[in-house]
Amino acid sequence: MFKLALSYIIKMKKNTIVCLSGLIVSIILLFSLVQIGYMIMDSYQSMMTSNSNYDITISNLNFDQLEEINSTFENTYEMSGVIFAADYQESNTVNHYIVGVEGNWLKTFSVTMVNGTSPSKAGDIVIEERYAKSHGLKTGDALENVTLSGDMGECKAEFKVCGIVSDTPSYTNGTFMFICLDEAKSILEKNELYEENPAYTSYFLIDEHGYPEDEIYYVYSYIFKNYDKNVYTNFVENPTKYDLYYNDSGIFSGINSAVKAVAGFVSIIMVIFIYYMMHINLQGKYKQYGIIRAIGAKKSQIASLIGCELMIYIIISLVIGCIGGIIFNNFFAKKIIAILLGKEVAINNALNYKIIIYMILIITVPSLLVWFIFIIKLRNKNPIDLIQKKEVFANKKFINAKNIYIDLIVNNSYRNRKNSRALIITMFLASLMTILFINGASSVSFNINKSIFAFSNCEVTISLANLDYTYFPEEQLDEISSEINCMYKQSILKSYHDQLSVKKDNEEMKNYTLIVYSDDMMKKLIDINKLDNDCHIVTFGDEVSGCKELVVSIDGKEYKINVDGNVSNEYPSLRGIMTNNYEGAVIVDESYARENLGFAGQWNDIFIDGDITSQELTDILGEDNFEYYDLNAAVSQSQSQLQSILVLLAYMAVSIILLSIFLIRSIVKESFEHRKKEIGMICAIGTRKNQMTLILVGETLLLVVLATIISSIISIPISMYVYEIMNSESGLPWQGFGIGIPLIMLLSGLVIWINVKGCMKEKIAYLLKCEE
Amino acid sequence: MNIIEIRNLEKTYVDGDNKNKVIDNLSLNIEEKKFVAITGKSGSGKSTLLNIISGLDTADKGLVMVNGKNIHKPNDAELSSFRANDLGFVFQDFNLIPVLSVYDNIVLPIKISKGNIDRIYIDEVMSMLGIYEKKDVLPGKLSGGQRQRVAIARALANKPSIIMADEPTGNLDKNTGDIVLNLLVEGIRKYNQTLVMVTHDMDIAAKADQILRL
Repeated sequence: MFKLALSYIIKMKKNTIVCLSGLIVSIILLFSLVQIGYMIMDSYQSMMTSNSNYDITISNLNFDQLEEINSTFENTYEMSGVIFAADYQESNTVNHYIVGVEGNWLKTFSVTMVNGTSPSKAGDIVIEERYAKSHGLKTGDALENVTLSGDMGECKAEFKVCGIVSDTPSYTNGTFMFICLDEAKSILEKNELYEENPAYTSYFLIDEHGYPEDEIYYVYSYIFKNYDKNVYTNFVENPTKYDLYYNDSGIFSGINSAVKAVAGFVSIIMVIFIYYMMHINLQGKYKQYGIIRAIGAKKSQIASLIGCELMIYIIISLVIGCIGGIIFNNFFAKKIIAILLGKEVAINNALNYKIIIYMILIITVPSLLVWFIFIIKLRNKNPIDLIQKKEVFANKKFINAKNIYIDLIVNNSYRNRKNSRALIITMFLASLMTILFINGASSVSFNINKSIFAFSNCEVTISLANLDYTYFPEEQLDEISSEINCMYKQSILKSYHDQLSVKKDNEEMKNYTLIVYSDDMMKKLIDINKLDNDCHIVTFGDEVSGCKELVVSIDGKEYKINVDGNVSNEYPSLRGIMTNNYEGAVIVDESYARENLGFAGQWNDIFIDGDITSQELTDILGEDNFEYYDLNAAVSQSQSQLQSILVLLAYMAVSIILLSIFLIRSIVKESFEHRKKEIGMICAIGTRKNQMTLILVGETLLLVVLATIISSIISIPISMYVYEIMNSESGLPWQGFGIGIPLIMLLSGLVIWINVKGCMKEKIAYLLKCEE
Repeated sequence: MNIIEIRNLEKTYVDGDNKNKVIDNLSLNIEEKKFVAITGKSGSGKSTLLNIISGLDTADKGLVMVNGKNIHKPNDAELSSFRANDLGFVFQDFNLIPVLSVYDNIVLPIKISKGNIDRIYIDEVMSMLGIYEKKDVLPGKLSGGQRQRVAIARALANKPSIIMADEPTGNLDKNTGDIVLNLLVEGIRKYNQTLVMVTHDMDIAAKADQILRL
């Protein structure tokens, strides 16, 4: 049966070429569409991820876990590992944290190398600038007799200063010191500073643009496989990015869904088209199957024969289609999109398993359907029914027009109704999809323009890398303001540790912090604690409870403040801040802080209405320790990216038109093929070939026009619904009807005319000899 | 000995409201190794009868025993096996597979029934029918007479006990028709087969051992 199937494919060249070319074009276009869809999603992902360095933070790992992950994901992720190795206790009150570092630790810590180099060998140490100043140290000096202490013991070590870094923000008056990671590990292992677990507190950052969920869970599994209950492991995803990707209302999620919805829609259309191409190809072989049955073939053998034939088609079209898709993408699609977008785009041609499975499904599902339907059809037919296909000449539904040509056109359309139905469905789907895709593109375009203009006034957010402990100096803000338009400045809601000390009755309070709340938050705090509404300053903590007057020292300047009340630890935000073992806090509202405590020029975040790049900000601020978050600007600047959706939709419309033309060609060819004898007969009794051409073109065009009218009527309410969903106020566009329909009708007419002309080229004697 | 026995056969074609009973209560016997011609007017049910005997069509009522097998509504496997092994069919319009060569067309029933091809026998049949030289040619390149010879060779390929022929010379000119008929009769005599032929040509019917008039 395989040989016979192969013979059909090889010997029935015209049929094979028509069917295969249709299938291959389907696969090529589908491949191209899928890759363009991926390109669009990739470009959005890249756009959204390019605004921050890291996506995932995993902290508090032990050394083994860190090493394992590091070695496992070395080639995938950019990672920095640090180990908080041990305390260097300089005095009874000051702890300096010695950190083992490797790789790009300078990126991980918001410090810059002021002098010298990173630690590269045992004995090297990098200290902070303030420590160097306070101890009169410089690069090359020795740090002798350093006591490294842990919970269980201590040891002595000596270091040589190899570098000095800018100051790190710190919780206490201690500093960070940096040594080689290997040395840190060695010190910990040799000296048993800790009882059980050497309290490695480590973290690393994963820089993987995009959230490959599988990979993340893979990392998770690595962590938890080695999970040590004594070590607290914390996995934190960048929440902003997570929202962007996976939140249902996230932009990426929306685009993702939209592209997938369109892809699903097109897939269904493709499946229908491929079904018809296969079906039409097999339909022409009904008689053949009858003959083979007549000479003894079982139904199962006919099923095998059809299955083999379909399988060969599937394999050939998949292989050629995918290769053709890659070529098409590189030589045509890329250029077309470049012209439409006005810039070069990279189309990924990777044949990954998802695409291959998708392609196989798209072509296999309709093939199986065709196979199944043929088996059902043949099941109830006697061989003789297949060999002698009955014609339906006499039927009361036939019209009797006065004009013989109209009579022939209408009656032939009815008599040939299987092909007519296929033609109408093809045209209907093609027209409907074309109108919808063109109208959809128009609607998206309108909405893009609308949303670009309606974007928030605040396009750029900048904030310092270590938000909690530093601020933009006023002069820098002035400088930014003088160059760009600062529209909005966020309220203060931060805690200040290093810059203040709190005194009660001239006695300095330990571990107290000053928190500045926005006025709204302060009101909530006051409501919860049932305080007087005029409160501006409240205290938290037993030690200051009942205290009416405090002295707060900020940057060496002292402010006397009158405490209005004392609060319990009820407010969630306050509880969050209180997790760092602070004994208490002085909370002031923003208005009071601005007016009385010198906070007037201090901002945590600023929002800028303007187009400013990270580099421009660096030039203004003179350093690179701020976070630059520019999603709105990125989206608004990337109008061309959004236009890619238009390209996708337009591309789909063109693909559908092209495919439908192929399918129409198949249908028309099949329709004329088995009527050649009849066409010869009509010509033989005196009908001129021109008249016959007119009849054949007329009967096919009649169906084309009928289908386009139906689809146009149906597309109006669907378009209106789409417009309503898209909140488009532009009114129904004319493009779908004005461009799509005439184009598709013109192309269909051309294909029909070419087919008819081809048929009419044959000599009448040849046509008469053709078997039905 | 009867190779075909038909009892009380009925067949009606239904087209909308119209019912056309083409075979009504027909009973007949055909002896083995005989050449039987079925004749009758157009629409008398000759071809329908042949199709029913061949298992290509089914009767509404009655009993059809061919070669001792009841072929009235058997299952597909039995009927297919019957057509492949017990029967050869020659159609008026040849019904060759256009994508297969002459040789492949001839041996197709053997391949379908998964039998062994007797190359000597096939070559002998092709030589007898004068188409040996054309064995690698596609049917489209042959004349009508040659195509019908291929069809006869295909019918003989599986060495069936019965050959059914539906107007085998109907599409051929007189001379070619005579040659084809002689070859067909020569074939069945040589291989001890029964030939049941539908024809409206009384000259051809006259050559038969038995004539059944419908």
